[in-house]
Amino acid sequence: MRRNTRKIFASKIARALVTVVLMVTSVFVLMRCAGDPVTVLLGPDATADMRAAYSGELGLDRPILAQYLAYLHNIVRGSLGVSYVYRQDALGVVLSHLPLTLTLTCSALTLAALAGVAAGIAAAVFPSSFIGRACTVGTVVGLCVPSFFLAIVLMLVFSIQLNWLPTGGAESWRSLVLPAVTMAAASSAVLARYTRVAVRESLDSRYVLAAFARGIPFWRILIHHVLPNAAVPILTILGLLIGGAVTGSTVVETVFSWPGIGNLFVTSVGNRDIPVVQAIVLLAGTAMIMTNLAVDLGYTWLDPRSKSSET
Amino acid sequence: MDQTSSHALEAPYARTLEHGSAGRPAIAAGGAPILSITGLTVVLAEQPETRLLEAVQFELRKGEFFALVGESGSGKSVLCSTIMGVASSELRCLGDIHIEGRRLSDVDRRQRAMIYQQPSLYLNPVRNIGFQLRETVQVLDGLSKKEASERAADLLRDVGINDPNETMRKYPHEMSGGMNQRVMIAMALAMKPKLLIADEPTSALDVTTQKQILDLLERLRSDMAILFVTHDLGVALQRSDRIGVLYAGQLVEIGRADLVARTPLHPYTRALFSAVPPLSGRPRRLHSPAGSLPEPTQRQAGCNFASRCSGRLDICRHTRPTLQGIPQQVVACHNLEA
Ligand SMILES: Nc1ncnc2c1ncn2[C@@H]1O[C@H](COP(=O)(O)OP(=O)(O)OP(=O)(O)O)[C@@H](O)[C@H]1O
Ligand code: SF4
Ligand SMILES: [Mg+2]
Repeated sequence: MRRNTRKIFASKIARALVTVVLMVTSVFVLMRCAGDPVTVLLGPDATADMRAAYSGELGLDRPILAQYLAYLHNIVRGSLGVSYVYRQDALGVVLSHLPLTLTLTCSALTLAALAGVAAGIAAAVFPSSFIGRACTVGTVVGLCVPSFFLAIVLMLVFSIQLNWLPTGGAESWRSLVLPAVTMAAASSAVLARYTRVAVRESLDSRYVLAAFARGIPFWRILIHHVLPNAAVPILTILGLLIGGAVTGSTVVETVFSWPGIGNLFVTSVGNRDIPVVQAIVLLAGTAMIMTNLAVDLGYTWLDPRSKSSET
Repeated sequence: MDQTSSHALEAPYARTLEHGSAGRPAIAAGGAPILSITGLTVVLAEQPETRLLEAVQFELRKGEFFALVGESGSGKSVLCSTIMGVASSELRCLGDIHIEGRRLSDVDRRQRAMIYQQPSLYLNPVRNIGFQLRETVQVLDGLSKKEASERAADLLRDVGINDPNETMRKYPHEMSGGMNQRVMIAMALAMKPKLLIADEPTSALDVTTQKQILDLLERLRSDMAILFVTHDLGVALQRSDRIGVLYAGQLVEIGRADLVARTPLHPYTRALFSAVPPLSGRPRRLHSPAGSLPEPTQRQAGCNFASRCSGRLDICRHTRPTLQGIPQQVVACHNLEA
């Protein structure tokens, strides 16, 4: 039993590592397909001499397999090239923006998780009460309103009309509030919807009926029977949201000029700063695979059935 | 046949009790009834004219094993969940259910317990057996965690599980249907119930396991009344004191098991038991006569069985028969000579 669990964990980790390698490879292929890097870098007007010099410097005149191996080797060493704009190690540039993005996404996700799960439970447990209806309506609104629109509305109200919070930047915690709320809105709505469905399904199940018939109090049933069952789908959605937050932060960071990775990504694409773009894509891809792995392991741990049904 | 339906049910208890050939009480043992149901009608809340149960009336006494039979859709499960007080919110219940003389709403939950056809659906899949059993005894008796574990282990031993500590670590999906049913029975016993409702508890089990579970119930019955729903007439005949036949939400015949099996009075009961060789003792699945049970929405005035009955009279079309008969056997039919 326990050995079985360990084996399942090992196989899931191995699978994640294979996915990372595939992701890294597809980034290489995509970068080559995106067009001749020399043209991209120098523009169509460059002279043949300049092109040849650049090709040699970047190793683009070597066979594709050699280029691929050199690329892998560099990734393993942690060297992803030098940013054309910052004239620094690309990975270093990206990592220097990481703390701000982590601050934003972590606050947004914590907010989304708390609000979304609470609203979902309330909507499932009290479907016809005011709070239940409010949660249902809030969920629909949260799902329908695009985040750039919400960002502008929040900015108009809280920054421009009321002048409570700054419109952008990352000077103090006050700058964090609007971008975090904007980012959390859609995620919490998604989470609330799935939580409501999962909790409702569990509440309607026969094991809950039997627990009621045994005289177990409602709140005990909710905490010890319903939530552990609902946790499995909730965790899955949360994992998807965490994965999505890496890219989802781009819009919000841009609108609120939050100097994080999303903002850097948009600027770097504009500047054709390929090493930085590549570093961000690799980092975001790895982060997504790792959150999926974490969800998968958490799922195995939460649901005893998955341990024996896996081969 | 000069008695009205309510007399037919009350009269037996006022008289001296007759005993059956097997030494079983005729209709019920003495003393106050554990369960007493009078005029129970269950309708859909949205359409009160649709009746799932109609004027159901019977009593159960301590130590009694009452088998409830009837084809699919006749309302057996609705009756069980109504007695348990966990009927769907879409249903409305009229009439009275008393447990030990007190109204259902005033009765402590632990006085009645229920087991089901598919026990694994009624156990939480993500909590282990130990958690669910401990929780039940803890909530009921306010025991400490350690005491609760010991009590849980004792309960599992009581239902014939020899390695309780190993079993408590398992999850429902890791155990067989028979083992899960034992666990359900252990949980029911934790409540020290006066009434045990068993809704087809053995239908999903193989013959050997079925016998073990029935023997277990047989062993437990002295302390409680058992309402046992089954499709298996052999089991009903062999194990029960009395058999009740439910047809389209109405009890059409109630009586001592041997009488109902050997001399069924209602045409529907007769059709059921005609398929069972009475003395072979071989369990047979419930065999329904040709035609089909009217849906709850399509039931009209008159006898519900009229469309399938060969002995039908004119009166059967417009007047619903009520239960009447001798103390040991009552039947709802206009044409007892047929
Ligand atoms: N909540 C409900 N709402 C509407 N109709 C219901 C509800 N519950 C049960 N019924 C109807 O009541 C009738 C009796 O159902 P019930 O489940 O009690 O049958 P049963 O005798 O237990 O059958 P089976 O042998 O298949 O278990 C069926 O026609 C069913 O469709
Ligand atoms: S009452 Fe009439 S229709 Fe109904 S079972 Fe008896 S004889 Fe048949
Ligand atoms: Mg049923």
